[in-house]
Amino acid sequence: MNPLAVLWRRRADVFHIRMGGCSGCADAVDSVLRDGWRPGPLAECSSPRHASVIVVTGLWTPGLTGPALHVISQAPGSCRVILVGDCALGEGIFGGRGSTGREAPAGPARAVPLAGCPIDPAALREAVRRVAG
Amino acid sequence: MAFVGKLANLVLFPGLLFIALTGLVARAILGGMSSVVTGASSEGPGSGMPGLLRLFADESVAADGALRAVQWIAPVVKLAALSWVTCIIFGYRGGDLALVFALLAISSAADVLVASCSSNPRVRQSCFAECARSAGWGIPLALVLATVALRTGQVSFAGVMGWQSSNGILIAPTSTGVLTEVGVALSLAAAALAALGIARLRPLSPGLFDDPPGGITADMSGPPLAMLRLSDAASLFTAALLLAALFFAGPASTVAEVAFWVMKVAGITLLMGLVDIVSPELGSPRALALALGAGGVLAVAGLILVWIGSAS
Repeated sequence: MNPLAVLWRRRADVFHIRMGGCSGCADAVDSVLRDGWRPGPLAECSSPRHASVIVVTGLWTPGLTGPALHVISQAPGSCRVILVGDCALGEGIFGGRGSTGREAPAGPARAVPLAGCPIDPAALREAVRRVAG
Repeated sequence: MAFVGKLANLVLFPGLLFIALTGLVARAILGGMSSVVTGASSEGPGSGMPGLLRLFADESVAADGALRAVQWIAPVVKLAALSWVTCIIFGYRGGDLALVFALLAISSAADVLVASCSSNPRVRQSCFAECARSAGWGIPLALVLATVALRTGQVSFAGVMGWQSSNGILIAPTSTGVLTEVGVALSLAAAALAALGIARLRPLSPGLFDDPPGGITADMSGPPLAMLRLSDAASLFTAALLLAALFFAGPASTVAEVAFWVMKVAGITLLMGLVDIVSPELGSPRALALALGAGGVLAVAGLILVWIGSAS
């Protein structure tokens, strides 16, 4: 173990917002964030104020859209938002069933879409790394 | 010119910059040890240098209704208090044992202030935990400092360290009798427990940044969070340095003696890290009971034995 390498390790702090749907994408996100025995380049954080990336999974339902956008507004200005999975993009098998559809994704500024049902964990890992810089 | 020198001591060496960087390296090593033994665990934001720099460059999101000024001032006060403590220990500033205790109490009070001023109920919930932690290390350490003063006959920090330079480290066998030696050994155990509390290590305290989703960090972001991270790292180094200075001090006039000092502090830091790794995370009431039950009793017993040993 090289302590200087540990000290200079680059990590993206990711805050996960889990909304409605089958939770398949949310579980994939959790598996990526909590992957492995050793600390990885992605780390789940407990507050949106600490996040460099916010990942949103699931449907933007009328009841959840407002609170989710409020949570996103608590993040620092440099934080980026990734909408993960077809449901978060207003599409997929749940699209249009109680969802606010395509209106909600326009809310979070500079949101990056990542389509898929279910999503590819490798693509998610790559997207978070790319967005976090 | 003297003022500039004092300021340089406080800000650069052996103050703020020195203890923050040393503390960050120590925290990184302990984090690496912990991940090797127990697997990856939450390290919180800004755990590496790039993350810390990102926090300094980031915006500080205003908390609803919270006293935002407290979020900015408290970590700075904490860092300044810890810097002053290291300046006293290194001999750059004069100060007695009571002043060191007061500065450490101020550093803990800063955390209590952040918790109590928050409008976030989850943060305010941690107010009791912060108070319990402060009492948990504060009361045993006060008794330990009294024991050290009684044993050495010195009240200034420089005096205590000078006494040890002349007579050997505090726990070394002397002609004063077995009661005194046992008393000092008990005080050392109590001081070690107090040092764990100051450094926020288990079993007395979960780490400041591995206590999701509550804790005083939940409200903070940007530079205040980065300064809190620095002060957290500094507290680890200061706690180990304090323990070494109180019980294992020696001369530091040659390179070999300075290297010996470095090894003492590094050894204590690693031991504290090992205790953290193998200890369970206790709830605040149980941690307080352990700190006052074990630490307090050890400290009282040590004080009484040293007092009897000194009187006889």
